[in-house]
Amino acid sequence: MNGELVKKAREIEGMTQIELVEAVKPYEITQAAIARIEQNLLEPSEETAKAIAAALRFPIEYFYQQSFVDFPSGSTLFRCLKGLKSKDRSQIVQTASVGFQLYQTMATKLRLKSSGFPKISHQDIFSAPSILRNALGIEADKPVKQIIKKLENIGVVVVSIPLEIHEHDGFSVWIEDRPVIVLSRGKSGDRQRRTVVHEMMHLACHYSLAGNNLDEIEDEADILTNEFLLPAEVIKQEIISPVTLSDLADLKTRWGVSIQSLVERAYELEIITINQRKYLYKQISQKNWRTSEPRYIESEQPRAIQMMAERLYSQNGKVIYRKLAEDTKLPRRLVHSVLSAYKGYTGESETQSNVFNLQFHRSKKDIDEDFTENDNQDSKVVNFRF
Amino acid sequence: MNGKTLEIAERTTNEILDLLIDSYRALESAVAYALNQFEKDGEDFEIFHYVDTVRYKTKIQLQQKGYDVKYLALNGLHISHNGYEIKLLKDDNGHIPPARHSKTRLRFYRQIYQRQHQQTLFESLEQAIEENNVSESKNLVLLYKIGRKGQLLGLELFCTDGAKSQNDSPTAIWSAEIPHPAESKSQNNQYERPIKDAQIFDDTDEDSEDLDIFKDGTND
Repeated sequence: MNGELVKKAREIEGMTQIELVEAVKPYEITQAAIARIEQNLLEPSEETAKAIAAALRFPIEYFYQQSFVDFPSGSTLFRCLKGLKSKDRSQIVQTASVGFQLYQTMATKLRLKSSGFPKISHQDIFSAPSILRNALGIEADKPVKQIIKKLENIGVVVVSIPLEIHEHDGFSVWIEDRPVIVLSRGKSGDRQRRTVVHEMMHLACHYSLAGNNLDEIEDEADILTNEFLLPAEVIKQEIISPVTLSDLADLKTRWGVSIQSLVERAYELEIITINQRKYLYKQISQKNWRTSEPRYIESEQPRAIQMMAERLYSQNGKVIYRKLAEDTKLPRRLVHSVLSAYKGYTGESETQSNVFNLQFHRSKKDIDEDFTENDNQDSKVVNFRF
Repeated sequence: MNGKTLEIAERTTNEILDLLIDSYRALESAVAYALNQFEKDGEDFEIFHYVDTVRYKTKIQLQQKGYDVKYLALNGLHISHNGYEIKLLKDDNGHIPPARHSKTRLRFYRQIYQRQHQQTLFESLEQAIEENNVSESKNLVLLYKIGRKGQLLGLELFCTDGAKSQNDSPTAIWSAEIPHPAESKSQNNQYERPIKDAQIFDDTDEDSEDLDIFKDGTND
């Protein structure tokens, strides 16, 4: 039994070793034994292996194969996950790796174009917005539309994980020569677009992190994201003083970014003063738009992995997801969960949803502290859906 | 509010919805302008200067949109639109300002302009409306509410029914909070439903094409 895969499956299920011990109680396996199995120091009996597989709701065959190319666990990956608990972080990463495994399994059977995604040297970093707009075929003065589609077209793998996590939007990694962006679900289109572009900046500009300060890298990615989404030259002509929420709501629709991002950009470009920024935020808070802005924009669905499944597993115009699950030895429910966020998905979940309640604690960002009185610290219950 | 009054309130707001949205936008802009001026000039907030600036800027913007707008003698604006007479006024501690010495305004609040003959038969205009003897009132007050430092808190539309005395705020047959223009659901508001990513601007042709990720088919 491959212990690494036992650990991976357990983390995908969001279980601790103790919880797994509880789930296989009749077999009287200790936590120490589970730990040794996961480290490949102990080979369980066939009966115990079956019990573990059943408790984790994975096919037994899954645990008798080689490990896959895994996500690097370096600082790039954990930069975006640092606010989360270790268990939750593991669940996110391992679930994302399932999405990548689906891609990888199918990629070996298909002839895919190689990635044309640029890597930008540090000396050209402030040209990154224009270099990337050019690479993606977006005109310099136009809003960014269908960013996921454009990235997939130049070989970026976009994995949508079936987890709705308030505190987590996405992360990115290079796996060998493939740039990968992982996105949590349940975000509005404007928020998703910002996350995708932010991660795209990391992939293009921060592929080598040696000697860099992580906070500086985040700030740099934010600056580049703002310029990519809202080019200064155009925005200075479109946001005109006196700036009102009505005007910004119209611009949100045109540029596909949040009203709050537009306020920040207007401030950054010195179109509004700090007091005007404060006034606009007070208005936003008063209208309860902080977490629920008007002019809701739907999120964009990725396509490539589903399209690969259509190419390989279609029968009579319908994708047979069961065959994909058999090829990857993954539970069918997991294959459905991952692919259900993709454009063109036609399957239905074959199992009942499994909801985990996880408690996250997070500090509000500085901007919240500046303008909101009653929510310095909060905790939210997040539903994990499989 | 009974069913008939509610129906009238809904019909009235729908009939002047374009004006309500434009007024909100104009006020929002005028308030921002007025507050910016204080900041720019390095002066403290001063209510009379503020109200004058807001009124002037709102009037200009509404006139630019083609509305029939006039200054009121003491304060506020008067707008005639779609058969309605609307007074745009700043709130008085959250209420409609009393008529005080203005008999014209008191008559306006009492809906006397249009239907003084019908109203004499009834104890109140509301009773007249309930008994279906009077169509909806045509005199309306659009109240803009501001905070202590001049921030715009919102707009509310009132159909008034007189006041106990000239020093009292008038009572209302009905009133309606006006949603922010970004949230309003006018017939012309294309943003009522969630916006698909592909719709955020015009070139929808892009949406019809699928990805181009394969070289020339499968290896298997």
